Amino acid sequence: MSTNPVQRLRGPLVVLGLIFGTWLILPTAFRIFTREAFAEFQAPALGLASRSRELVRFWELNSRDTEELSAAGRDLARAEAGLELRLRELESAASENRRLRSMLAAPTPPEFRTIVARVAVRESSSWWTRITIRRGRTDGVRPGCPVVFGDCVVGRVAAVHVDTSEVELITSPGFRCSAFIEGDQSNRTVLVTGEPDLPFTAPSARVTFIPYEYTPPAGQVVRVVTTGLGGLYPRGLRLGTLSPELEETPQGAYRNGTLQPARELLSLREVSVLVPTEPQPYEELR
Amino acid sequence: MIAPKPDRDDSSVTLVPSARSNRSRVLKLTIIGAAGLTYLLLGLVYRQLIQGDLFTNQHERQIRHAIIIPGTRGRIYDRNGYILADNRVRMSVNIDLGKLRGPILREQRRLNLQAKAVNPSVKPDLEALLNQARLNIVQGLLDKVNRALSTRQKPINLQVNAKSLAVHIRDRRTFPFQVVADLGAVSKNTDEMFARFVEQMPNDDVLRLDHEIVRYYPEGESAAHILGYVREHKSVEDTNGTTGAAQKAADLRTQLGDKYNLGINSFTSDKVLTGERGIELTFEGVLAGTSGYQIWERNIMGYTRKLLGRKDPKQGSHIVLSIDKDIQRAAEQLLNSVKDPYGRPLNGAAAMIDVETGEILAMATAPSFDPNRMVGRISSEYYDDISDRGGWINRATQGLYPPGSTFKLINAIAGLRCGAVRYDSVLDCGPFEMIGNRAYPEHTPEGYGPTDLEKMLIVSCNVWNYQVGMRTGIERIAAEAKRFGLDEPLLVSPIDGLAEYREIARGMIIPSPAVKQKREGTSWTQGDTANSSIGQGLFRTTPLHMAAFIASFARNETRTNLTLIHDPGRQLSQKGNEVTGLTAMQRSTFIEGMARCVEEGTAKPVEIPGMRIAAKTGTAEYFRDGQKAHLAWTLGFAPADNPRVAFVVCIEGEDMTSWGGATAGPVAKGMLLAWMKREMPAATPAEEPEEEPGQ
Repeated sequence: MSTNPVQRLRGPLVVLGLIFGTWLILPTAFRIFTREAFAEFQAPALGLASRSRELVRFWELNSRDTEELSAAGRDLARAEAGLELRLRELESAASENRRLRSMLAAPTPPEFRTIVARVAVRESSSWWTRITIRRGRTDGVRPGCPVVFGDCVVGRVAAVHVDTSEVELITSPGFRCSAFIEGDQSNRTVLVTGEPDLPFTAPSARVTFIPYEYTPPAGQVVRVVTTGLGGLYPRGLRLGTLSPELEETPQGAYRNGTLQPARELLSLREVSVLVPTEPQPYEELR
Repeated sequence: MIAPKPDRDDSSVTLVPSARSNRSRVLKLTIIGAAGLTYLLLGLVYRQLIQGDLFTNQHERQIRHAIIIPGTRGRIYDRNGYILADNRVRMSVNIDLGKLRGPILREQRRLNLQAKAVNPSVKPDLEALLNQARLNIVQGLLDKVNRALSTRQKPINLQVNAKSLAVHIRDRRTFPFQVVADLGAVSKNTDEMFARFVEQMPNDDVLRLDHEIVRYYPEGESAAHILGYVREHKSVEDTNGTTGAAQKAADLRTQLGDKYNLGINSFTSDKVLTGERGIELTFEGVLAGTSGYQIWERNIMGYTRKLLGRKDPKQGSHIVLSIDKDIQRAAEQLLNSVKDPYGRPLNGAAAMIDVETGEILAMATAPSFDPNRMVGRISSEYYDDISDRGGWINRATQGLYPPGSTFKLINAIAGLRCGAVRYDSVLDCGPFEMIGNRAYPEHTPEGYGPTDLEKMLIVSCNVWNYQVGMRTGIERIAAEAKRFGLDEPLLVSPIDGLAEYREIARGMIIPSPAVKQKREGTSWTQGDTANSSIGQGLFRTTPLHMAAFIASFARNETRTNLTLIHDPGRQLSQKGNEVTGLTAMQRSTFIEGMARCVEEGTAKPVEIPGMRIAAKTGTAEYFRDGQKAHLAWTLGFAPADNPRVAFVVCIEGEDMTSWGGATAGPVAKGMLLAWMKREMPAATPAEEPEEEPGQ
């Protein structure tokens, strides 16, 4: 047997090169099919791993004593009662809003159906770029749908498979969204785009087209929220906070800033996919 | 036995050459080969070593391309920091055609096959097919944009302009092709269009959302004549090289040409804005930013491939004007609301000046125009409309009018200074004054009887001025008018003599025998002196000249060098300035007379409770479209005892129904109220219900 490492590796390298070359010259449709097939093939494994983690968590919670659980249940019941009340108020406000909109013939924002999805996998190599969730085509998830957690934007659905979907996070370079800076009285629209995930840097997104005359109030946390104008996200969802230092641009007509994503993004276990009740243009444009 | 020697056959050919012959041939071939190789080698050496630099140079010049990016213009502020001229981001949608080569070629092939299938005998024009393929692909992408921007209430259907695409391919291939120049123009709701595009369209680098910086005037028509406007040029070359932006870009081209080895045709410029009027024009060199650049390597098709170098443009300097936005707006609103008794809007001008510094606080003119509509392509309808209404003229600086009775102040000063009259002289002023064979009338049939300087100022007595004018003489009257600078160009920097505003009149006339002889070829008469003493006849000056005069008079001086630029530490320029030469008694009589003119005389409409104002009105006659009409004047200063601001208003009447105090007075009052609101809010009276000026 040869001891020369180059000679030993020659065979595998040639095979690898051949596979790569073949992959390059394969028709696009075949490549898409292969990629999709691979995603579907690994989906059960991802699901299984995710469910196993949940089972571990379940037994961990099951080991708590009854009194502790009863107290938590009581707290939960109280919180639920409060939320029920708030829900009634919001339903009433929504009904009034619809009535006024119809009177003014104002455009109605899209209505959404919520699909709650558990996070199946979040790889460390793409921690701030992508997650895979355990809901897919069969559950009604469609490409491009917004994904939220509470009042916080997580990202949007990038690819949909049969039982799983891939979500592009707001810190991903492909993400962009229109936003308002909370507290800016003139409600000027800014643009939020994800930034490349560089090693040894904190995850962030970029806020551009901040009017040059806007100054973040000193010592206050400035939230950046969705505009609701683009037809993708409902208005007022939290994207993150604006860093106090804004950078000047050579044009001088606007400034740029950095968006620190919401803390909830760090440890996502569950998200909600907002599926519009009516198809939106982005579904066919993506 | 010896074998017979075979006979030599002479006719036979020697098939095997001799070794010598072979050597000779090989040698020849070798020499030829060597010579050939040497020739090639020498050629290679010549091309590579001797001509190498030349070819490298040519190659670089062919593939390198510079895009000049003009700097953003500086902002223009009012004296309190409010923005009068700003830059706004205009969102556009662009397609990078360089990234669509594959789809375009496939589309061309499809069209080619289609054409051959329809008519196999005709060879399709491949160039035409390529153009059609480009159009189809670009329209396909634009259809996506249409779908993204459309709402149920408003469907959007943008179409590609085939001509623009062809021009772009021919001239501006280095740039992406703009399919939507302004997202805001697609629908009224710019923010919604922007948001729909970024959220509905995929984020790729073929169909890009770009932005341009455009000039924006947040106050609309307000101060339009002062600010001027900018014109959008497709490139620096379109500016004829005369503007600040063009000159800066030309300098940059020279530098880049040397540094990056760029040919004369290796430059393309982005859109550039240049000042066309007003401050935008005069301060073009200050406002225009410093151009940046991008040096690109292009592929064989002319599309950009690799960025070789770049420098960001730099924004131009900002300018702070002396204008106070609120006083300016108040003056304009009041001017625009002035109507004659028949409800016709009247043209006019108004100005307010800081007495101590000469800074112009407001300079309004009506009618005006919206400079925002001048950016980009000006519609011919709008241009014609402004022309028909006379909206291009800044009446404050370009309108040449007889000053009418406001000139009586200068006539009186001339009379007092030369001893023709005393401040307490009482003259008998009847209903008219006979000069030569002609009766020069008072403006009341009864006359004013015994009249002194103070009374003259209160009632604006003509006869007093005829008498004093005749005693003083036209030469002294004219000299006094010149002393106050009524015939000198305004808004010229006293430091370098450069105009800080170019739309100024230069044809001011101070009448004198020589002037009359020159202009009309006739001799001076006594009647001309009488007319001149009340600011009629040949007199022509601008409202801003009269404002400068009254500001000077308020300080007891003769010159106010006006400026539109604010400087918090400004000291009034003393160029040409001197004291009026009036005694304290004379001056106090003037001020008392002008103050009483407001309290009980012709300037009553200017009166503001709590503020003593000194003013003088005038109703001059002029010809409008061949018909006699009245010009309504009001000028003055406030507070009367400690002057801080001077003002002037001049309204062009359509006929003889406009009057100095009644028509122009309310505009002056409105300006003063706006000034008081800023400077002494506690003393400002509560707002009264608005009266219709001029009624």
